[in-house]
Amino acid sequence: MASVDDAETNKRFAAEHGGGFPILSDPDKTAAKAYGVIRTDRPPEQQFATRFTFYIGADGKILDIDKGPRGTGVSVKSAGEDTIKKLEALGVKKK
Amino acid sequence: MLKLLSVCAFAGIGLLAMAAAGSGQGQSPPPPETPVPAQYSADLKVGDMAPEFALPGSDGKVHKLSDYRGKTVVLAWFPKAFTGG
Repeated sequence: MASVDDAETNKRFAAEHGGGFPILSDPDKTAAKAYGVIRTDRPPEQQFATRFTFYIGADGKILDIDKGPRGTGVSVKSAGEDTIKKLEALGVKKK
Repeated sequence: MLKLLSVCAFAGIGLLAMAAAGSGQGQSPPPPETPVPAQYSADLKVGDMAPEFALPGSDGKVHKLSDYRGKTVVLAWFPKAFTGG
């Protein structure tokens, strides 16, 4: 997971709510902008990362992008199970 | 239980009174906002190379995308820590 929060905040967040994967911090928003998750029609102080999920293949190419049912972000409630379903659909083997 | 109900009823009346006060000022409701299409900082497509990054993780390590070549990576962006999911 990744957000534009600073590293210290995400460290605390992961400690409380983490799911066994690292939470990445991108406070200067460079990667967030490159991935197109920043709304440029909003002022900078409201530019948080949109809930888009990227599935990146072994070759570094994008396999799939989940932008949610309305294209505005994935569902918070079903994000976990949606991700597992998507990985199964993409034929990604479990560890 | 009775006490809870009475509090609820009181709150309900308060809301009604506020609504009445609001409508009594003769203000016309604001015009519906014309939907502005969301504009995003980039528009990546399936098949594009995922942009390289090197970002600090909550585990204290720096995670570079290219270090994961050969593995599938799920990169799930979210808006803000401690904001309900």
